[in-house]
Amino acid sequence: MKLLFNNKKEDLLSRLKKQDPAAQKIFYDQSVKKFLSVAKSYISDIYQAEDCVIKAFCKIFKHIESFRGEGNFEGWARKIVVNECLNFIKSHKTVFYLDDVHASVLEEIYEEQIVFDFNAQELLDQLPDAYRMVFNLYVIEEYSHQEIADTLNISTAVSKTQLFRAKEKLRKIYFQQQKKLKNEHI
Amino acid sequence: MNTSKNNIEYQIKKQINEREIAPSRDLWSEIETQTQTNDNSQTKKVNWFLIAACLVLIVSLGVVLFFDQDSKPNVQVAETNNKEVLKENSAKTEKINSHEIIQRNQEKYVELKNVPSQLKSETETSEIITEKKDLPMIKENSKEIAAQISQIPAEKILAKADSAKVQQVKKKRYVDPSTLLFSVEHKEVIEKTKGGSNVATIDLNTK
Repeated sequence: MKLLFNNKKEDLLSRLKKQDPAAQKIFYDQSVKKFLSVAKSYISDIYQAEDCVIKAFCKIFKHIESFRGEGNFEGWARKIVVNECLNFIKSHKTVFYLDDVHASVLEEIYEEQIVFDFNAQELLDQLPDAYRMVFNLYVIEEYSHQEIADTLNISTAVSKTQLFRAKEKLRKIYFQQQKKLKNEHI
Repeated sequence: MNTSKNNIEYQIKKQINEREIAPSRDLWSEIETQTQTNDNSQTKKVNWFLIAACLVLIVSLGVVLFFDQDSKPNVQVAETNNKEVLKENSAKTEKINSHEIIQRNQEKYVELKNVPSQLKSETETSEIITEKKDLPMIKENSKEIAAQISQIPAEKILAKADSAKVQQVKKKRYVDPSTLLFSVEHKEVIEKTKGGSNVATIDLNTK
């Protein structure tokens, strides 16, 4: 069964490389919802996120020949979506990266008594663009600080600072939400 | 990165990776139109490149031909023309000579066959002999001979032919027609010797 699934994937990939419109439609149907979810985590506005997804699909279909089968095709396509979102933010918004934070402050934040009934998108939407980009790249896409620095043209120190501040901000937003909920219940 | 499940980051990652958002509008139609326009623009680019390449090629060819014509002196052109004309003429003469010689030889050979052997003149016999020997040579090396003929002037060819005739006359193995004619006209003078040879005695004083 697994073999059959792999063969189907390879067949779809070969058809995509031949610019087969039917294969392109199949791939679109399979991955559009996932890609839109990824794009929405970077861009809060759904229409702008959709525009980025459209551009990403066009790029995937156009440059599919450059995918040499090294690694996962979905991962390669997802990377294009992420890059498209980052380019959109860079070109449409002015991103400010704050100064370095003292090294002793960079500690992991643990939440021991957190009830995880929050909406992740609501938290992300309240983050500034610089924080959100670094946080998403580090936490969701699992980039290293060096990779983030190379992608966003910043230093690794700035990347670490942005991540720390993003986590701090998220915690603050979360506790504020929890307080609101408690007050509403009372 | 902290991989503990008890932190906000992990929960955010989990939620983002597990969720799926349906598009609010028809994205596929927009993707289709964009990919089609991309294809069209690509073909347009290719066409422009082709046109530009053709123009460059034409201009470069024109420049090369123009300067090539200027650099060549008129004398050389005349020489090449003469050579070409000579080549053509020689080729024609080759063809004509080889064919004509063979045809003429064949005709003469047929004519001479029909004529009785006794009445043949000295020149005719010599021609037959020479031409009979020449025929296979023409067939074998007709091109070389024709080329030689074309290179040598007409007067020399005639002279060569005469000398060939003289040589062939000297080498003849057959009965000399003049002696044969003499023997017929003056039968009474010829006497057979004991050795079998015919001897004619002529008195030079009596006329």
